[in-house]
Amino acid sequence: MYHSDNLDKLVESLARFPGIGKKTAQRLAWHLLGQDKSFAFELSETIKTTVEAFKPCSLCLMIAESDPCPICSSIERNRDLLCIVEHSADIQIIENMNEYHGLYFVLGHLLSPIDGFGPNEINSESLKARISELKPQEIILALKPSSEGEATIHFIWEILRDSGIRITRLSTGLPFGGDLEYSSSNTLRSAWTRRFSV
Amino acid sequence: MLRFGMFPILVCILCGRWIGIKTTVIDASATASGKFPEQRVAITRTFSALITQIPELKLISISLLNFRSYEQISFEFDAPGNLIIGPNGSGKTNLLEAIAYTSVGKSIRFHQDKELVRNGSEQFAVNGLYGTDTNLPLQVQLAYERRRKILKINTEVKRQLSSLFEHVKVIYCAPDDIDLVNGNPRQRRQYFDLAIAQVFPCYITLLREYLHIVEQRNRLLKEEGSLLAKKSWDLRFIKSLLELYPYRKKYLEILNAELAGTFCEISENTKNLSITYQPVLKQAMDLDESVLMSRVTELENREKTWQRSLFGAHLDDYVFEMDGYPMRSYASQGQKRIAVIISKMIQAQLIETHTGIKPILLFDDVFAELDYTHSEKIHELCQDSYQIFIASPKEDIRQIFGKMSVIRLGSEQ
Repeated sequence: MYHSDNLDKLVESLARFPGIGKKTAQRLAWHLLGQDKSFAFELSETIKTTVEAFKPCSLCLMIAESDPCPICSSIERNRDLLCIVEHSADIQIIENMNEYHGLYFVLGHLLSPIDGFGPNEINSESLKARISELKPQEIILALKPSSEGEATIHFIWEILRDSGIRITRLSTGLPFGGDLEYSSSNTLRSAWTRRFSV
Repeated sequence: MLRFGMFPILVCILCGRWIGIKTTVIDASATASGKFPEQRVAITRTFSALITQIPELKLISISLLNFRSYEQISFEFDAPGNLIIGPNGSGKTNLLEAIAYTSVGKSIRFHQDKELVRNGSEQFAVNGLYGTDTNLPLQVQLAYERRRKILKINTEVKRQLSSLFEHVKVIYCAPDDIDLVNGNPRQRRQYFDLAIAQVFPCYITLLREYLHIVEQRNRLLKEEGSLLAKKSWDLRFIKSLLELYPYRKKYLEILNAELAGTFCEISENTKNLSITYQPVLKQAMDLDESVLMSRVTELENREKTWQRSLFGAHLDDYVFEMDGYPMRSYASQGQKRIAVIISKMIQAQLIETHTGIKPILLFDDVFAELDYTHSEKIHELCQDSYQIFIASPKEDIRQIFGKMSVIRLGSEQ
């Protein structure tokens, strides 16, 4: 049986990525070893420089190359709108939509007692401070529809309920272009429960 | 009985890619009013049951590999019904469990998958072939190895076990069903949760979500956390509860309506049956969000002391009653057995009415405990309606179900 400590270490490191199991990690590792060495060196250098360059923005906690991040420091962004997301990666997805031009705040986690994520872990104090400073007219909660997402939405609503700020959340239900035929009965039920007047 | 005939198919499953079967959880509760989502669904047939002709499924054959006591075997079945006769320990119950496995994707006897693997093996496979009246057979393949399970329906891999419920449904009756009356509340909840999910498929996702919230909330009650965070989880708990309760309430309504109707006269001495809901919190199913939240507040100190949620659907109970009295204390063993069988017959009827699917009935040695008259009445009720499988160690079962084909299990198992 072939064994190498270095290879094992590489596989273990790769297997720590979300969605990568041990077998995929092994395949990736052997792929790296099979390429020209410059590919792996370039990749590791890129990882090193990028990781060193990025750090959380002190205003919105988005992981970015500059502090404040380009969005917080932009004078073109609408400061009356604040969108709250779970991860920095969510910002990129919303930005790709090119419909929203307000500011963001990154919670880092959702409330989940099982995982040990409470108000401190979701950066609620920093959020309150940011909202006091910005005084936005609307806060958009772009959190995933799950028990944890719903609990977090309610928690944020509770801490802001007396602020007079309009608080909205993303809709849930059928995807645009999706077929009723292929939606699960629970997705359909969600859309059904939240149906609205035409 | 066939041997080895379906083995190549089983090998194909085992050699295929193993995937974990996950169920997507979609939360739909944030703005739910707590009302039943669509009343008409509960009181009329579903669209598919009403408008379309759902193919009538009959199990034609089943092949097992390393399942419970079976190493490798195939069986062929008759469409109307089958008697499985064999001495104790010959594998009758295991065969019924395997048949049910092709419908539920889990053990109907609440075994874990790893407990279904034959001693000395690491994997098992079950392959059921259903015939339909449209001549389009349905092949259900399930295989398990090291906590990973693969489901294929007509050779197509399905990621969700719930895909099975859309096609096949079974009802399993066993002697220890009497525990539904005598046993602990957990057994009754498990039975009714499955029964409700068979009629209302959304229920199972809502229940899973509810239990997850209870788990989150219980963890929170073990630690000194923020009051606002607790309030947020309290609200999720209540909203989720208000989504579950209407399904339980509706199921009991239709079940009790049937108990008072067609099934009222099945037994001379077991009449006026009803099943009532006994929530930990009195009248819980009729309380609204604000009242339930105030109950949570009242219970806060006790819940912190006990470090768990002290009321809710995960603790509520069902009571079998006869003439308004709890059967557990007042009924005879025979009356209890008949009450449970009647409930299961109604379950079969409700599944057919609401989903259009005729369930397969599995009777595991239940007739040994019943007198001839009651056995005959149950026979009349199922005859020509459902495909039935009856396991018995005694030949005299043929006196009642004589027309059925016989599968004999013996010492070779």
